[in-house]
Amino acid sequence: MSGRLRLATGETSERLGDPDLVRRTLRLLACEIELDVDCDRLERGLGWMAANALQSMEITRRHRLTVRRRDEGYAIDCDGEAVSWEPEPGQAAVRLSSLAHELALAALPDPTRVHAGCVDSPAGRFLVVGERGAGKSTLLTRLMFEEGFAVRSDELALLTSGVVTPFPRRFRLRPPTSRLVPQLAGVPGVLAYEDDAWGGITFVDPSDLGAEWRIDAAMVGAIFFLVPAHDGGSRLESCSRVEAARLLMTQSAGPAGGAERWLDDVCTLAASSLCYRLILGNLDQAVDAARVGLAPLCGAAARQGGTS
Amino acid sequence: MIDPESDLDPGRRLQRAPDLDIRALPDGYVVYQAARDRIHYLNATAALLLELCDGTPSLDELPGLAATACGVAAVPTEEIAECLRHLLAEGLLA
Repeated sequence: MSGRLRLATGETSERLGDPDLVRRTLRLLACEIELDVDCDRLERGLGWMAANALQSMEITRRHRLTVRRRDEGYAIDCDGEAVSWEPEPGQAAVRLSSLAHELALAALPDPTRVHAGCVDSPAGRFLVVGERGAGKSTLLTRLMFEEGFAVRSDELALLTSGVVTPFPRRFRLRPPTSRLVPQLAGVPGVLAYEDDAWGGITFVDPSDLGAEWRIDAAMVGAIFFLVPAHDGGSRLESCSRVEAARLLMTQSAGPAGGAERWLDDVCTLAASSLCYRLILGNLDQAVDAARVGLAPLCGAAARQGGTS
Repeated sequence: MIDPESDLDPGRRLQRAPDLDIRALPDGYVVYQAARDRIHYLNATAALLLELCDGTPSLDELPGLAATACGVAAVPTEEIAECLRHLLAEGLLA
C-alpha cells in the first residue's frame, strides 16, 4: 500500500511497494518524470528539482528515473536502463537534474535553446541574455521585487519560430545575488542545497516569493544583452538587429535540424524585437535602463489593450 | 586563393557566390555559407554590395550605384573597398 504525501514544494511524492523507494513526480513542459529514490539523504535534497509552475503544455512523454544505493554509490536508471553511477549524493542530484532536463527537452519539437532569462511585464515579454556570471539572475530578481515583473525563467528560454517558452527550472541564485537583493533575506520556502557539487547555491521558486510562476509560450518584444561592468554604472545602448542575431547565436544552441532552422529562429526573434545592450553595473540604474528600454512597448501594449 | 588587395581591378565585375543562404534583417544580412559551414553578419553597406554584385556593374560603378540606392550624394569609396575586400576574402563574392 502506498501513501501519498504533499510536499511543501507542491510536487507529489509517494511511498512505493518497495518500502525503501520514495517517488517524486516532476512535470517539465511536455514531459512527466517519476523519480524513484531509495536514499533518504538524497531524496530530502531533491526539493530544488521541483518545478512548481503552472504549466499548460500537454504531456506527451513519461519517463522514470530510479536511483538506488549500490556499490558504495548511486546507480541511476532511466526507464529501466542503467545510465549513470555517481559516488556521492550531491553528484547524483546534479546528474538527475541534468537527465530530467534532457528528457524534458527531448520531448519538445526541437527548439533553439537560448541562454536567457524570460520575463513578462505590462509591456510584454522580454529576454535578458548573458553569459553565466553576467548578472542575469541578480537583475531579474531585482526586476521581480522592484518592478513587479513576472520572471518566468532565469537561465533558459526555448525558441521556435519567434515564440519563446521559458524553461521551468528553479532560479539558481549564487551568493553575490543573495547579497545584492536584500529582499531575499528571510524569505520562507527558499531552498538552499549545501553540497560540494553546488557550492551553496540557493534555489528559488517565484511562488516562494509570493509571485505566480506561469509557463507559457509568447512572442518577445525586447531583448537585453547584458555586458557586465560590475564596478561601474549601468546604461542602455541600442543594438543593431544583425548584431543581436550574432549575440543570440553565441548564446544559444540550435535544433538538431541544422543551421537553417537555427538561423530562422534567431533571425525571426532579432527582427521582431527591440534590441539593446545593457551595460550592467549599478543595479538601480540597470532597473531604470530596463524601464526605458521597455517604454516603446508600453505604448504598443496600451494601444492593443484599447482595441481589444 | 584570392588576394583581395590585387583583385579590386576597377573593371572587374563581381558576382555573389552560389549557395548562400541569406536572412535579411532591417539593418543588414545574416548569411549562412554552407560550403564552409560559416555564418557571416553583414552591415547595411556590405548587404547592399552583395545585392549589387550580380555580375553586371564593374567595380568602379559600384560607388555610384550604392549612393543612388542609399539616397545620398556619395558613399565613401574606401568604405566600399573595405567591404569588397572582406566579402572577397570570405568567399561571398567571386
